[in-house]
Amino acid sequence: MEPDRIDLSPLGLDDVRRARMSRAVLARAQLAAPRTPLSELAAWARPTLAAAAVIAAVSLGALAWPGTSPAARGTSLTIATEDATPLTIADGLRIPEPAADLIAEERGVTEDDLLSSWEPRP
Amino acid sequence: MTDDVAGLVARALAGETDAADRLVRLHMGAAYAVALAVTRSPHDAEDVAQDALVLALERLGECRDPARFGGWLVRIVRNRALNHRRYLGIRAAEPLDDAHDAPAIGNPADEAERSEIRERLNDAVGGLPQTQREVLLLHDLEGWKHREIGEALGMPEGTVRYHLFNARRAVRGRLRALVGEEE
Repeated sequence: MEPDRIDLSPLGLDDVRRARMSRAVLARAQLAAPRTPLSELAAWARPTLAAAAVIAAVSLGALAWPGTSPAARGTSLTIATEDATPLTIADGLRIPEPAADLIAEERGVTEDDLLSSWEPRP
Repeated sequence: MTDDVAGLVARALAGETDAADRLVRLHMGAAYAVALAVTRSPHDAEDVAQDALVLALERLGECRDPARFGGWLVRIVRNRALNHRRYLGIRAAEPLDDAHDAPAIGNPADEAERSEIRERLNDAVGGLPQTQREVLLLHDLEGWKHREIGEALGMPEGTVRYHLFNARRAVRGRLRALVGEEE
Protein backbone atom coordinates (compact mmCIF):
# COMPACT_ATOMS: atom_id res chain seq x y z
CA MET A 1 0.00 0.00 0.00
CA GLU A 2 1.23 3.55 -0.77
CA PRO A 3 2.18 5.53 2.36
CA ASP A 4 -0.17 8.37 1.37
CA ARG A 5 -3.13 6.12 0.74
CA ILE A 6 -6.09 6.50 3.06
CA ASP A 7 -7.72 3.28 4.21
CA LEU A 8 -11.27 3.70 2.91
CA SER A 9 -12.20 0.04 3.19
CA PRO A 10 -15.01 0.74 5.71
CA LEU A 11 -16.81 2.60 2.89
CA GLY A 12 -16.46 -0.26 0.42
CA LEU A 13 -18.46 -3.39 -0.17
CA ASP A 14 -17.83 -6.35 2.06
CA ASP A 15 -17.72 -9.83 0.56
CA VAL A 16 -21.29 -10.63 1.56
CA ARG A 17 -22.78 -7.55 -0.10
CA ARG A 18 -20.54 -7.93 -3.13
CA ALA A 19 -21.69 -11.52 -3.64
CA ARG A 20 -25.35 -10.62 -3.09
CA MET A 21 -25.21 -7.75 -5.58
CA SER A 22 -23.36 -9.87 -8.15
CA ARG A 23 -26.00 -12.57 -7.93
CA ALA A 24 -28.74 -9.98 -8.35
CA VAL A 25 -27.06 -8.52 -11.43
CA LEU A 26 -26.63 -11.89 -13.11
CA ALA A 27 -30.21 -12.84 -12.32
CA ARG A 28 -31.48 -9.67 -13.97
CA ALA A 29 -29.16 -9.52 -16.97
CA GLN A 30 -30.30 -11.14 -20.15
CA LEU A 31 -27.03 -12.30 -21.56
CA ALA A 32 -27.09 -12.18 -25.32
CA ALA A 33 -26.90 -15.64 -26.83
CA PRO A 34 -24.01 -16.14 -29.23
CA ARG A 35 -25.07 -15.26 -32.78
CA THR A 36 -24.00 -17.77 -35.39
CA PRO A 37 -25.11 -18.03 -39.04
CA LEU A 38 -27.05 -21.17 -38.16
CA SER A 39 -28.86 -19.50 -35.26
CA GLU A 40 -29.66 -16.48 -37.45
CA LEU A 41 -31.04 -18.80 -40.15
CA ALA A 42 -33.04 -20.73 -37.59
CA ALA A 43 -34.47 -17.53 -36.15
CA TRP A 44 -35.46 -16.34 -39.62
CA ALA A 45 -36.69 -19.71 -40.88
CA ARG A 46 -38.91 -20.59 -37.93
CA PRO A 47 -41.78 -18.15 -38.62
CA THR A 48 -41.45 -18.70 -42.36
CA LEU A 49 -41.70 -22.45 -41.97
CA ALA A 50 -44.68 -22.06 -39.66
CA ALA A 51 -46.47 -19.85 -42.20
CA ALA A 52 -45.71 -22.31 -45.01
CA ALA A 53 -47.08 -25.18 -42.93
CA VAL A 54 -50.34 -23.32 -42.31
CA ILE A 55 -50.74 -22.51 -46.01
CA ALA A 56 -49.99 -26.12 -46.94
CA ALA A 57 -52.53 -27.44 -44.43
CA VAL A 58 -55.25 -25.11 -45.71
CA SER A 59 -54.47 -25.96 -49.33
CA LEU A 60 -54.48 -29.70 -48.69
CA GLY A 61 -57.76 -29.40 -46.86
CA ALA A 62 -59.34 -27.56 -49.78
CA LEU A 63 -58.03 -30.14 -52.27
CA ALA A 64 -59.05 -33.16 -50.21
CA TRP A 65 -62.66 -32.02 -49.74
CA PRO A 66 -63.74 -30.28 -52.95
CA GLY A 67 -67.38 -30.47 -51.91
CA THR A 68 -66.79 -28.03 -49.13
CA SER A 69 -65.07 -25.38 -51.29
CA PRO A 70 -67.14 -22.35 -52.33
CA ALA A 71 -66.64 -23.09 -56.07
CA ALA A 72 -67.81 -26.63 -55.69
CA ARG A 73 -70.87 -25.66 -53.67
CA GLY A 74 -72.21 -23.81 -56.70
CA THR A 75 -71.78 -26.76 -59.13
CA SER A 76 -71.73 -30.35 -58.03
CA LEU A 77 -73.82 -29.98 -54.92
CA THR A 78 -76.52 -27.97 -56.68
CA ILE A 79 -76.61 -30.25 -59.68
CA ALA A 80 -76.59 -33.33 -57.54
CA THR A 81 -79.54 -32.12 -55.47
CA GLU A 82 -81.60 -30.76 -58.39
CA ASP A 83 -80.99 -33.41 -61.08
CA ALA A 84 -79.62 -36.23 -59.03
CA THR A 85 -77.29 -36.93 -61.95
CA PRO A 86 -73.54 -37.16 -61.64
CA LEU A 87 -71.28 -34.62 -63.31
CA THR A 88 -69.65 -35.54 -66.61
CA ILE A 89 -66.13 -34.62 -67.70
CA ALA A 90 -67.60 -31.99 -70.08
CA ASP A 91 -69.50 -30.45 -67.14
CA GLY A 92 -66.36 -30.40 -65.09
CA LEU A 93 -64.36 -28.73 -67.89
CA ARG A 94 -67.28 -26.32 -68.57
CA ILE A 95 -67.40 -27.23 -72.31
CA PRO A 96 -70.47 -25.70 -74.02
CA GLU A 97 -73.23 -28.24 -74.72
CA PRO A 98 -73.10 -28.02 -78.61
CA ALA A 99 -69.35 -28.58 -78.55
CA ALA A 100 -69.76 -31.47 -76.16
CA ASP A 101 -72.30 -33.04 -78.56
CA LEU A 102 -69.83 -32.70 -81.46
CA ILE A 103 -67.16 -34.43 -79.43
CA ALA A 104 -69.55 -37.18 -78.37
CA GLU A 105 -70.65 -37.78 -81.98
CA GLU A 106 -67.05 -37.61 -83.20
CA ARG A 107 -67.81 -35.30 -86.14
CA GLY A 108 -66.71 -31.88 -87.35
CA VAL A 109 -68.61 -28.62 -87.38
CA THR A 110 -71.04 -28.20 -90.33
CA GLU A 111 -72.49 -24.97 -91.80
CA ASP A 112 -75.86 -25.86 -90.21
CA ASP A 113 -74.20 -26.01 -86.80
CA LEU A 114 -72.70 -22.56 -87.30
CA LEU A 115 -75.97 -21.07 -88.58
CA SER A 116 -77.96 -22.57 -85.71
CA SER A 117 -75.51 -21.17 -83.17
CA TRP A 118 -75.82 -17.68 -84.74
CA GLU A 119 -79.59 -17.66 -84.61
CA PRO A 120 -80.87 -15.13 -82.16
CA ARG A 121 -81.89 -16.77 -78.93
CA PRO A 122 -85.39 -16.22 -77.63
CA MET B 1 -5.43 -7.81 -15.83
CA THR B 2 -6.56 -6.05 -19.00
CA ASP B 3 -5.92 -9.20 -21.06
CA ASP B 4 -7.92 -11.18 -18.53
CA VAL B 5 -10.75 -8.67 -18.72
CA ALA B 6 -10.75 -8.73 -22.52
CA GLY B 7 -10.93 -12.51 -22.39
CA LEU B 8 -13.75 -12.42 -19.88
CA VAL B 9 -15.68 -9.97 -22.06
CA ALA B 10 -15.21 -12.21 -25.10
CA ARG B 11 -16.34 -15.28 -23.18
CA ALA B 12 -19.31 -13.46 -21.67
CA LEU B 13 -20.29 -12.35 -25.16
CA ALA B 14 -20.14 -15.98 -26.24
CA GLY B 15 -22.71 -16.75 -23.56
CA GLU B 16 -20.47 -18.14 -20.81
CA THR B 17 -22.21 -17.36 -17.53
CA ASP B 18 -19.08 -18.04 -15.46
CA ALA B 19 -17.18 -15.35 -17.34
CA ALA B 20 -20.02 -12.86 -16.87
CA ASP B 21 -20.09 -13.71 -13.17
CA ARG B 22 -16.34 -13.12 -12.83
CA LEU B 23 -16.59 -9.89 -14.78
CA VAL B 24 -19.33 -8.60 -12.50
CA ARG B 25 -17.50 -9.58 -9.30
CA LEU B 26 -14.28 -7.96 -10.55
CA HIS B 27 -15.96 -4.65 -11.28
CA MET B 28 -18.70 -4.48 -8.68
CA GLY B 29 -16.47 -2.57 -6.26
CA ALA B 30 -15.51 0.11 -8.79
CA ALA B 31 -19.11 0.48 -9.95
CA TYR B 32 -20.22 0.90 -6.35
CA ALA B 33 -17.40 3.35 -5.55
CA VAL B 34 -18.28 5.66 -8.44
CA ALA B 35 -22.00 5.40 -7.72
CA LEU B 36 -21.29 6.22 -4.07
CA ALA B 37 -19.12 9.19 -5.05
CA VAL B 38 -21.96 10.64 -7.13
CA THR B 39 -25.05 9.72 -5.10
CA ARG B 40 -23.42 9.90 -1.62
CA SER B 41 -25.86 7.27 -0.47
CA PRO B 42 -24.77 3.62 -0.01
CA HIS B 43 -28.32 2.44 -0.69
CA ASP B 44 -28.68 4.48 -3.87
CA ALA B 45 -25.16 3.47 -4.87
CA GLU B 46 -26.08 -0.21 -4.60
CA ASP B 47 -29.10 0.29 -6.85
CA VAL B 48 -27.20 2.39 -9.36
CA ALA B 49 -24.22 0.00 -9.49
CA GLN B 50 -26.49 -2.97 -10.07
CA ASP B 51 -28.55 -1.21 -12.74
CA ALA B 52 -25.40 -0.09 -14.52
CA LEU B 53 -23.89 -3.58 -14.47
CA VAL B 54 -27.09 -5.12 -15.82
CA LEU B 55 -27.08 -2.56 -18.61
CA ALA B 56 -23.40 -3.15 -19.30
CA LEU B 57 -23.91 -6.90 -19.60
CA GLU B 58 -26.85 -6.47 -21.92
CA ARG B 59 -24.88 -4.05 -24.11
CA LEU B 60 -21.56 -5.84 -23.85
CA GLY B 61 -21.33 -6.00 -27.63
CA GLU B 62 -21.12 -2.20 -27.72
CA CYS B 63 -17.92 -2.14 -25.64
CA ARG B 64 -15.40 -1.17 -28.33
CA ASP B 65 -12.28 -1.94 -26.33
CA PRO B 66 -12.92 -4.98 -24.12
CA ALA B 67 -9.56 -4.53 -22.37
CA ARG B 68 -10.93 -1.23 -21.03
CA PHE B 69 -14.25 -2.62 -19.89
CA GLY B 70 -13.73 -0.98 -16.49
CA GLY B 71 -13.54 2.53 -17.90
CA TRP B 72 -16.55 1.92 -20.13
CA LEU B 73 -18.50 0.61 -17.14
CA VAL B 74 -17.52 3.58 -14.97
CA ARG B 75 -18.93 5.96 -17.58
CA ILE B 76 -22.22 4.03 -17.57
CA VAL B 77 -22.30 4.09 -13.77
CA ARG B 78 -21.54 7.80 -13.71
CA ASN B 79 -24.32 8.63 -16.16
CA ARG B 80 -26.85 6.53 -14.31
CA ALA B 81 -25.79 7.95 -10.96
CA LEU B 82 -26.07 11.52 -12.24
CA ASN B 83 -29.52 10.76 -13.66
CA HIS B 84 -30.47 9.20 -10.36
CA ARG B 85 -29.27 12.23 -8.44
CA ARG B 86 -31.09 14.58 -10.79
CA TYR B 87 -34.20 12.45 -10.37
CA LEU B 88 -34.01 12.70 -6.62
CA GLY B 89 -32.88 16.30 -6.85
CA ILE B 90 -32.16 16.68 -3.17
CA ARG B 91 -29.02 14.78 -2.46
CA ALA B 92 -26.33 17.09 -3.83
CA ALA B 93 -25.61 18.94 -0.59
CA GLU B 94 -26.25 16.08 1.81
CA PRO B 95 -23.44 14.14 3.47
CA LEU B 96 -23.08 10.44 2.84
CA ASP B 97 -25.88 8.43 4.40
CA ASP B 98 -25.25 6.14 7.30
CA ALA B 99 -23.66 3.35 5.41
CA HIS B 100 -24.34 -0.32 5.41
CA ASP B 101 -27.34 -1.65 7.17
CA ALA B 102 -25.99 -5.13 6.62
CA PRO B 103 -25.94 -7.20 9.78
CA ALA B 104 -22.68 -7.13 11.67
CA ILE B 105 -20.49 -10.14 11.23
CA GLY B 106 -17.94 -10.98 13.88
CA ASN B 107 -17.05 -9.32 17.15
CA PRO B 108 -19.61 -6.63 18.17
CA ALA B 109 -16.85 -4.46 19.66
CA ASP B 110 -14.89 -4.55 16.40
CA GLU B 111 -18.03 -3.77 14.46
CA ALA B 112 -18.79 -0.80 16.72
CA GLU B 113 -15.31 0.57 16.16
CA ARG B 114 -15.59 -0.04 12.44
CA SER B 115 -18.93 1.74 12.42
CA GLU B 116 -17.41 4.76 14.13
CA ILE B 117 -14.54 4.89 11.65
CA ARG B 118 -17.01 4.55 8.81
CA GLU B 119 -19.05 7.41 10.15
CA ARG B 120 -16.00 9.68 10.32
CA LEU B 121 -14.93 8.69 6.84
CA ASN B 122 -18.45 9.35 5.58
CA ASP B 123 -18.33 12.86 6.94
CA ALA B 124 -14.84 13.53 5.63
CA VAL B 125 -15.30 12.10 2.12
CA GLY B 126 -18.86 13.36 1.76
CA GLY B 127 -17.66 16.95 2.00
CA LEU B 128 -15.35 16.66 -1.05
CA PRO B 129 -16.33 17.81 -4.54
CA GLN B 130 -17.68 14.99 -6.72
CA THR B 131 -14.60 14.59 -8.92
CA GLN B 132 -12.33 14.34 -5.90
CA ARG B 133 -14.62 11.74 -4.37
CA GLU B 134 -14.55 9.68 -7.57
CA VAL B 135 -10.77 9.85 -7.88
CA LEU B 136 -10.19 9.15 -4.20
CA LEU B 137 -12.57 6.19 -4.00
CA LEU B 138 -11.36 4.61 -7.25
CA HIS B 139 -7.71 4.98 -6.23
CA ASP B 140 -7.63 4.43 -2.49
CA LEU B 141 -10.61 2.11 -2.17
CA GLU B 142 -10.50 0.13 -5.43
CA GLY B 143 -6.80 0.38 -6.19
CA TRP B 144 -7.16 1.75 -9.71
CA LYS B 145 -4.09 3.31 -11.34
CA HIS B 146 -3.94 7.00 -12.22
CA ARG B 147 -4.00 6.14 -15.93
CA GLU B 148 -7.10 3.95 -15.56
CA ILE B 149 -8.93 6.63 -13.60
CA GLY B 150 -7.97 9.26 -16.16
CA GLU B 151 -9.30 7.13 -19.02
CA ALA B 152 -12.52 6.36 -17.20
CA LEU B 153 -13.22 9.92 -16.06
CA GLY B 154 -11.86 11.61 -19.18
CA MET B 155 -9.00 13.59 -17.66
CA PRO B 156 -5.20 13.58 -17.96
CA GLU B 157 -3.15 11.55 -15.53
CA GLY B 158 -1.67 14.71 -14.03
CA THR B 159 -5.14 16.01 -13.25
CA VAL B 160 -5.97 12.72 -11.52
CA ARG B 161 -2.88 13.10 -9.33
CA TYR B 162 -3.83 16.68 -8.56
CA HIS B 163 -7.37 15.74 -7.50
CA LEU B 164 -6.09 12.79 -5.50
CA PHE B 165 -3.56 14.94 -3.65
CA ASN B 166 -6.17 17.56 -2.79
CA ALA B 167 -8.75 14.97 -1.80
CA ARG B 168 -6.39 13.19 0.57
CA ARG B 169 -5.27 16.43 2.14
CA ALA B 170 -8.89 17.54 2.63
CA VAL B 171 -9.98 14.20 4.08
CA ARG B 172 -7.05 14.10 6.52
CA GLY B 173 -7.81 17.65 7.57
CA ARG B 174 -11.46 16.84 8.16
CA LEU B 175 -10.61 13.66 10.07
CA ARG B 176 -8.22 15.58 12.32
CA ALA B 177 -10.89 18.22 12.90
CA LEU B 178 -13.48 15.56 13.75
CA VAL B 179 -11.13 13.87 16.22
CA GLY B 180 -10.27 17.27 17.73
CA GLU B 181 -13.95 18.09 18.17
CA GLU B 182 -14.54 14.83 20.02
CA GLU B 183 -11.53 15.37 22.29
